[in-house]
Amino acid sequence: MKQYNLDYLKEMSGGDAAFMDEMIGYFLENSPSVITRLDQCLQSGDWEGFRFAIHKFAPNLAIVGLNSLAEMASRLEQLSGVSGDHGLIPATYDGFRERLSSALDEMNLDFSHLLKPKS
Amino acid sequence: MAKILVCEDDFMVLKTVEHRLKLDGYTVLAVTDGSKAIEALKVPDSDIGLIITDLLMPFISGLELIHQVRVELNRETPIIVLSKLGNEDTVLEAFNLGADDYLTKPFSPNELSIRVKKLLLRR
Repeated sequence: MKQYNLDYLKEMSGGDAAFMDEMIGYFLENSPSVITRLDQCLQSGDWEGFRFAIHKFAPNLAIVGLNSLAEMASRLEQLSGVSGDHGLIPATYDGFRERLSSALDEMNLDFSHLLKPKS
Repeated sequence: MAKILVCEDDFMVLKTVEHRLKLDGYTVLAVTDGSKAIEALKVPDSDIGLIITDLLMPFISGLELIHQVRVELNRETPIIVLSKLGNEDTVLEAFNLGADDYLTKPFSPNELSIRVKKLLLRR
């Protein structure tokens, strides 16, 4: 069973395969930079930056049907808020990052034809 | 069909909303921040029938955009805000500033179509 589910994207796009490919390709290209940003914010204790980055990333996870990761992202957003328990973020983020890496590995393999060759 | 201004700084959300609205037959003007939305609204005869905006954006936030539309531009153009679960306080603030409806991301295409149609019929 795949970790991702493209039913939502298919429904939103009316089954437009080219549009779906554009969105999946963007997600795969963009996600590593989001992870880097989150890593940096975590290391520097920049919780506002962390909250903004994870807030923006959560809907992207849902669009490609990584729904449990989208829920984890929302949890991380809550934790990184002003009244959140920042002490819980590192362990929660570790779990999130591990599962996201696994999902990205799977998607990169399945959609390798959408990825731009690295120069 | 009406022209809809969509203001959202996230590429994937912006594109999916734009794509869906175009499938529904609307003309869509997609912008990535509030200042570009204000510029678009100031264009004479822009004939924008509905605004859909995210709340958390750099430069000019969705709340600031709503304030500017209602107070500074004195427009009654219907506004739908895009929000995330858990951001109810901000949505309430958006309603206080003059937003007409809201959608929680990720929303279904039918939900988007229904809410857009409802507000456009109200004009």
